[in-house]
Amino acid sequence: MLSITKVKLKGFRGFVGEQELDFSSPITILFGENGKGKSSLLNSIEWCLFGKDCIGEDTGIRERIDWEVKNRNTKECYVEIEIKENDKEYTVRRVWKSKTKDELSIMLPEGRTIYGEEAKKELVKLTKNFSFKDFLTSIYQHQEVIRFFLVQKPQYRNEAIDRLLGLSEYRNIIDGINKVGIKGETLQDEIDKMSEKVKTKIEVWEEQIEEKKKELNNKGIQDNEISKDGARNLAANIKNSLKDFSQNINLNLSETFLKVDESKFNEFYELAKQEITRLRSEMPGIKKQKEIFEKLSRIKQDLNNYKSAQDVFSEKNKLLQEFIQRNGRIDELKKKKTDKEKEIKGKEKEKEEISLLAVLIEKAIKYLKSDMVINKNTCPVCGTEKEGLLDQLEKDYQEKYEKQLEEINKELEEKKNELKKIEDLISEYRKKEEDKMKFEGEFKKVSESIGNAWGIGERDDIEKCLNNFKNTYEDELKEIEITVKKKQEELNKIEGKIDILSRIHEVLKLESQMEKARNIERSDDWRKLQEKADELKKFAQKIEDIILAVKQASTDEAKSKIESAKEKISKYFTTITNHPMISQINFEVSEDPRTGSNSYEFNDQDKENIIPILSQGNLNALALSIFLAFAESQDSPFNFLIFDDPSQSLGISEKSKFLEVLNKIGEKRNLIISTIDNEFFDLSENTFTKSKIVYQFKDWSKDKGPQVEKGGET
Amino acid sequence: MEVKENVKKFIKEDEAKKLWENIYKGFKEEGMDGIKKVLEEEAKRIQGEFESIKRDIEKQIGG
Repeated sequence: MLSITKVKLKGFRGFVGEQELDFSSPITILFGENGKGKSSLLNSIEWCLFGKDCIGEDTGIRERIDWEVKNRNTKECYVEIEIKENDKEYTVRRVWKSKTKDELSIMLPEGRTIYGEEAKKELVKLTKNFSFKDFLTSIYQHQEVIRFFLVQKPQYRNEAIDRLLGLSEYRNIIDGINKVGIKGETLQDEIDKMSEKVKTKIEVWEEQIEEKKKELNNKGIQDNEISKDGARNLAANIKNSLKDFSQNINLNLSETFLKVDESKFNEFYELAKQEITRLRSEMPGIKKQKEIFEKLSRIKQDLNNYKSAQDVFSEKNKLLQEFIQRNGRIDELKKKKTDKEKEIKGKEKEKEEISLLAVLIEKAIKYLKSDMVINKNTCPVCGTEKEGLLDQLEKDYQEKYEKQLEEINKELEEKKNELKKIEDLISEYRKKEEDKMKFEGEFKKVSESIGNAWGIGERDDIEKCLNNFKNTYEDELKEIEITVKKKQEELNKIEGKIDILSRIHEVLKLESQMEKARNIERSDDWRKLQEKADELKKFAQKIEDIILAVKQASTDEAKSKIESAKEKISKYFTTITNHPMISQINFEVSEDPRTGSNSYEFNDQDKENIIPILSQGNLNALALSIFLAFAESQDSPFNFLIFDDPSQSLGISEKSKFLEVLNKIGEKRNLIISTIDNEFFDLSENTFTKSKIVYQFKDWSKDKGPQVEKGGET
Repeated sequence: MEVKENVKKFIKEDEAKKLWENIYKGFKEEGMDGIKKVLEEEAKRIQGEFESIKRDIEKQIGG
């Protein structure tokens, strides 16, 4: 049998740097609080021996889904275990390469190292084809199994027992199949829905056909004409009508249309429509109509231009005439200006004369007032003597000349203003006359251009002439329109026939579709569809059969395993618990009628279910008893057992008894026990009679991993 | 005995046995996803053929 003597590891899960631990003693105890690396160390033995088999969903261990092997803070990860078989020593080494790849090598007793497939084969030989599942149920007691076992829900306990019995794979496969959820009736349901849909369609089509037939009847089409022959005859009639029509207007029908088969309705329909559109556009009269429309449009445009030029010119002329009426003609204005200028000249002369006289008198006054003159009554100009001459002269000057000059100046001012007004009027006259002449020129140009375009003589009235042309063209247009309208109506009639043909065709199409739909469920395609639905049913049935077989195999294997271990389970349980009410346990399996999974029962000597009266500690003891019983029953290649936190809910007496059982097992097999339980650890110190090594897991850090101290050897 | 063989004993039909072997192989190689792949592949094949015939029929009867 194989025993482990040493484990060396680096970068595995909680471990960072390389560490080496001696496992050569019969008992190895790993002691420390949770999260310090004990389980990582135990897991490393599994991984080294079974590689990726101990990772993932199908291990039956939930924690192993997305389980990371390599520590995130290291580049390198490997586990090396030294195993001994009799006196031969092997070193098994597994190196992590990637999430899906690792490298196995074994150093053989003679010192040669083998790799890859050769190493794998050697390992299978050494472990006697012992699978990971076997290892899980009979060598390595996982703490998760006990946790599940202690859960009160029967569903979880049954799952835990399945795992203890190594039956998780069955359960996982059933879960996997059920998750896909293939339903055999899915396609049959679709067929049924289709069948309903077809029936509904037929009903709708029947109604539509009835309605369309009624519409055709209303248009004078008899029921017997709503047929293939009827449609063909009508198509031939349409073709002939178009032939006659085109001949009448001296146009040809296209060769394609003439050759088209009347029974190929869609083609015939499209071509007939095209021919009608062409005939409508090419028919005589249409071109002439177009030309006249263009001419009328031009006349309208020219009339507008003519009138607008005429209006502007008339407006400008009217403004000039109104000005003349208000202010006189230009020669009159000019005369007024000359007269006004003469008047101003006369006034200015008068002013000059008075001014000269006034200066003279002013000088005489000044003289008379001077000291040189003694006789103030003698006039210095004429020598005449007059009493009070100076006073008289001053009075005359003020009353006569100053006043006169003032009046003359005033009159002059008024006359100059009048002259300015006359000049402004003359200027305004010239502007208006200029405007009038400019637009008169424009008007002449427009008239000339229109006259030339329409051949209107210089002396003719353009507006009248244009209106005459307009009336002539309108009359001509009316005549053409009557002819064209007649032709268009003929074509409308033919189009009406095409419309009827189209309606008949729609009815025929609906009837054909309805016929197809009525026969579809008897068609080959429908039969094939049914075959596919049956195939899915059969496939789903096969899956059901497989699920049933998986359940049966699982129960069968459970029964056989329980049979081989039930006495030992009973023995271990009663020894560990010393339960006063239970002297014997009958462990049985049956199929859960609800889920089809294994359902386990534990009855006492009186066939009473013991689970309701078991404490958490008792349940833990039961889980351990099942594990121990299988460990003993299995033909194992390993001479060691691994326990991970086995005393989870045990009382002190149960712990003590359990240790006694372990001590007894320890006589034959090495034990590797991991615990956080001080009481259990202390009890173990005094219980084991074989030599042991204790490793204390003191601390754990991200950079260094677990801090392990060898606690002593006994 | 292996799970594969244990289950096989309880399956009567050869075709079901074959399907079981594929399911088990899928499970061993890719776990639950492997089972899903095997079953869905066959179901999709049948469904695909069904849909194709269904489309043909719908064309015949006008959608």
